[in-house]
Amino acid sequence: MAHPPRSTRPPRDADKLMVCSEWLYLRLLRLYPDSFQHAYGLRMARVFRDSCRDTLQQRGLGGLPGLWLHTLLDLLLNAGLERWLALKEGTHAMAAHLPVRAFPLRLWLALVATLIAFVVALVASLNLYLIEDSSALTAAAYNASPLLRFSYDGIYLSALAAGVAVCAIAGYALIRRALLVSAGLAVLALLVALGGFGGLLVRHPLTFLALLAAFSGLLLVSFFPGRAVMTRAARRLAPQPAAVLGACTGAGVLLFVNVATLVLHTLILNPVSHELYMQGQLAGTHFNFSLIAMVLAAITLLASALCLSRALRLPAHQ
Amino acid sequence: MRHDTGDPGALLPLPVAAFHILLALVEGERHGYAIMQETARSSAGKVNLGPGTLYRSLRRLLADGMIEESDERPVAEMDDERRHYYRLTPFGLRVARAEAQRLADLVRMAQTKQLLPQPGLESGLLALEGGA
Repeated sequence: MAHPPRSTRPPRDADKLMVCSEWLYLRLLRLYPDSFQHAYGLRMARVFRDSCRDTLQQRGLGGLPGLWLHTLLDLLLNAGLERWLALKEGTHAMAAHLPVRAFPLRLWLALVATLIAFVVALVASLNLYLIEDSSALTAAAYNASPLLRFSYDGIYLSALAAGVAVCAIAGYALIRRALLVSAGLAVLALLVALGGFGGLLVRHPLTFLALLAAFSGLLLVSFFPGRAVMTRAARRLAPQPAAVLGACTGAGVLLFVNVATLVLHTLILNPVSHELYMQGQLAGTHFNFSLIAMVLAAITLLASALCLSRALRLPAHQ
Repeated sequence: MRHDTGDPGALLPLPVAAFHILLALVEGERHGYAIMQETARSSAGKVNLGPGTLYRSLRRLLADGMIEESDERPVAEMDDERRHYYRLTPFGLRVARAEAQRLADLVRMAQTKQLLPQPGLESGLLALEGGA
């Protein structure tokens, strides 16, 4: 061996200083990550003690500040580098788990497209609702064609159900417990039904029940495709993003129903009551509020569908 | 990742501390503090490894297969069981040679560019200075 351990000892009065220095250095070693400290902490402390002993023997107490300065700089630099390395390794380890945890970019796009589609479809529905509800021509038009009443209710109910579906997206995005979200959605759907057409319960109970059945049916129609998409997405994504993607699909289905009923209603309305239809026309132009809103709704719905389909096909790590 | 069967050139250039540790182990196995002392001695005090630099470098060299911990112990009265001894592996020796060759090539290049005196010229100048 090139260097056997030394048997010489520093003066007795320096022993305490050496012990204190080693004690302090051992405490400072906690600056290193646990794994490094566990593997090399005692070896480093021993090397430091040997350095202390030799410094005290060769230069006396005056040499100790210089040794401490050198050791502290070494410790701060290397502990910092080790911490940085541990952070990088931790980040890589997290990245390795990203395929099952991440909220992929395309899923965000699908989410945004669905929300925009919802807003546009809601504006289109409200526009039609406000025009027809305030017009004296409405009753006559509805008497002329029962289908107008039917499509009008369809627009209204699908907009309400789409609102519940959008809340489902938010719920799955914000709350990890699916059971809690499902229970909250059931309560919300009941509140929306009561708030939306609950007044009929007293005046026209049968109509209320019919609308409630249609509303529940729409929710179920959106639930099953959403569930199917969620199950499929769960093969590549973590449960939470998969649930959000499923809720986006459910909302998309309801928005499709909404736009389809809007188009149907407009197509029926013009021949039955042209005056009522023309109330939505922009002054001095050939553009109609309802038509513009419906085209926008259709476009955003298409974008939403494309984003959803791409989100389903995306590689897991994106 | 271990490179002990790979190309030594892939690990070059070595960090200064790592190369000094390999140089310290060329003559035989040493424990951590002995490596530190030998490094300071052979560099005339220009390279003073702290415990952190020493053990971070040792860990890297162990991981790359350039050194290994030795199971052999010195004679009982010279041994300290708490110490860990390190020795150069054949791969580590090849890496150290490759790094030394790389540095020698750099020195030759500097001499060609007249940043350093030529070996022959230097000895001649020294002889002239001595004669004067």
